[in-house]
Amino acid sequence: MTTRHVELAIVGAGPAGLSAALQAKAAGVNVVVIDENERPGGQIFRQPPAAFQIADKNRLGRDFARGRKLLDAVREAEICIESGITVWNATSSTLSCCRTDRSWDITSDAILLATGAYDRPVPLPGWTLPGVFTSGGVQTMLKSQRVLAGRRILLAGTGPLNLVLANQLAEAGATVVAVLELARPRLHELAALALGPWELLSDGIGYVTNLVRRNIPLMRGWTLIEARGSDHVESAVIGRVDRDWRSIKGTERVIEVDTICLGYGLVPSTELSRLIGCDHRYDAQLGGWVPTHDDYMESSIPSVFVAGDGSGVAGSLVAIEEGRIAGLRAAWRLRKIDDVAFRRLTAAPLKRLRQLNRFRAVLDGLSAPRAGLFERMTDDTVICRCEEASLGDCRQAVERGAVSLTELKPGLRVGMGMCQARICGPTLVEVVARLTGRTPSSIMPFTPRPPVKPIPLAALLKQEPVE
Amino acid sequence: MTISTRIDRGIQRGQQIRITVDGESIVAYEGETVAAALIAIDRRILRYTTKRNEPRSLYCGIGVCQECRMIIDGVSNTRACMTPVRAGMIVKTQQGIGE
Repeated sequence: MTTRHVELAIVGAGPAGLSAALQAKAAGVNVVVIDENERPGGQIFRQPPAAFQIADKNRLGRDFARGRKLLDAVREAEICIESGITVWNATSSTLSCCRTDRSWDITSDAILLATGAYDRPVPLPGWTLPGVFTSGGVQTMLKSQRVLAGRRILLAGTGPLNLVLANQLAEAGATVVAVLELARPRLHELAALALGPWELLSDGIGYVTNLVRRNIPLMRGWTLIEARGSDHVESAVIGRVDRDWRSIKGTERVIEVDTICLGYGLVPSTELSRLIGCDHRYDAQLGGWVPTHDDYMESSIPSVFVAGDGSGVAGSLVAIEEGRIAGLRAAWRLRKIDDVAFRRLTAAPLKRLRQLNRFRAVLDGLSAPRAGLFERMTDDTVICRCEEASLGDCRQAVERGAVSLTELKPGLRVGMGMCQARICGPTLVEVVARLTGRTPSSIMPFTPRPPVKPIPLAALLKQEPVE
Repeated sequence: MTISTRIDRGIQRGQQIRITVDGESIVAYEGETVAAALIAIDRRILRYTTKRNEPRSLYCGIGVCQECRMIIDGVSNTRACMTPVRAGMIVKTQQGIGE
């Protein structure tokens, strides 16, 4: 087995991973950042492909401008970033990497998992039809590839991403029929938001006023009930919901659309922290099961750090501060900086994190999943897309005595397909909790197994790093 | 001919190339992913499922869900959203678990 050693190995070149790398490198740590995408930036700071030339970068939005600064700093600091690489296995000191048909190991004294998050999958009738996309996926297509995923588009779900995306789609020439938002903030919640950091506040006001200016209806207290069509989306059934997000019967309407974007907030990517054996806890507001960590982002395993949305969904501003703190703590663990330097350097990021967290608590309260979120599913609705297991299949398994996710596997194969439970896992925690009358925090997530992402068998035979 | 949903304002794409999709030659641009080149011309069905034989397209768009897997240059289960196009690339709609 070919191996290479570094002091700090970081998984993920998004805001958390890159911010950590900058701090660690400045402190003298030998650091490498490994990332699955072709270019660094993660999802939020995703750049267009290198072969594209963008004449007017302002069109790519505020996040892109913020990301540009970070990416410029990373280039100036000559941070070693290895792109296009899948990490398919991990221990507390080894990362197994794969690119195309080759694999190799990187060993390290410390690891930072900055693996980010992805759109929360919420099954409902018709959600597997071509033309139903996640909002994050449609935004990626738009931001990076400069391609519209459709022409007549409905957005549904909850949270700020849909507001941002609706404006971006309209700006790019699509017809945005409406944005359906599950949450209906009360006055005191809106007042609490007004105490937030200025950049987030001005972003939020900007999104809403731009929707108004473009005549895009923002329908609060509405959601998608069903996507309809033969082999692609032709219409959407929408309806009103109550404060618990339960459907109100008799309010259904059908609208013609060719594309539906579903954005229900994000769930953290935790397969590597679970594989390594870090302790996890259930926190609905942070997206479900998340790795526990101390004030300095160190997990329950010494020298294994977590930061950014992968340690609990909180957005890019929080990710940057968490990344800085984790990078500095790793440098302290590696004895590159002493206690005094550590305290001095982390004072500002820790203070900023406290400010952001106060604001976040209010936002989370608005967008965290409520009881009705998973009630649009019918027995025929597919939950596990890979193995095509439905709610009805899971109900029968529970009636036969299954009380955990592991006990659903025999017979249904849920969570054992190509995505390795990333899509069905978060939903099944909620579904099994409901079907067995328990709380989601008592339903353990699936145990990840290597390879955590599919890799070609040929890669295991050809063990050498790419040049 | 379908008009593409590529946004042209303010952007210079990479070199125009051609790829073959289910035997048909289509235009793509260097830097694009296979998924983007197909979605842009309304070719949304990327595979059919094993059990229900249902059409599937891109879903997550960031390499997580594995829904967009196609047979690309002879390799089954290749994610169209993570694979950049290359001149002369052979792409096939995947049936079930592939070839």
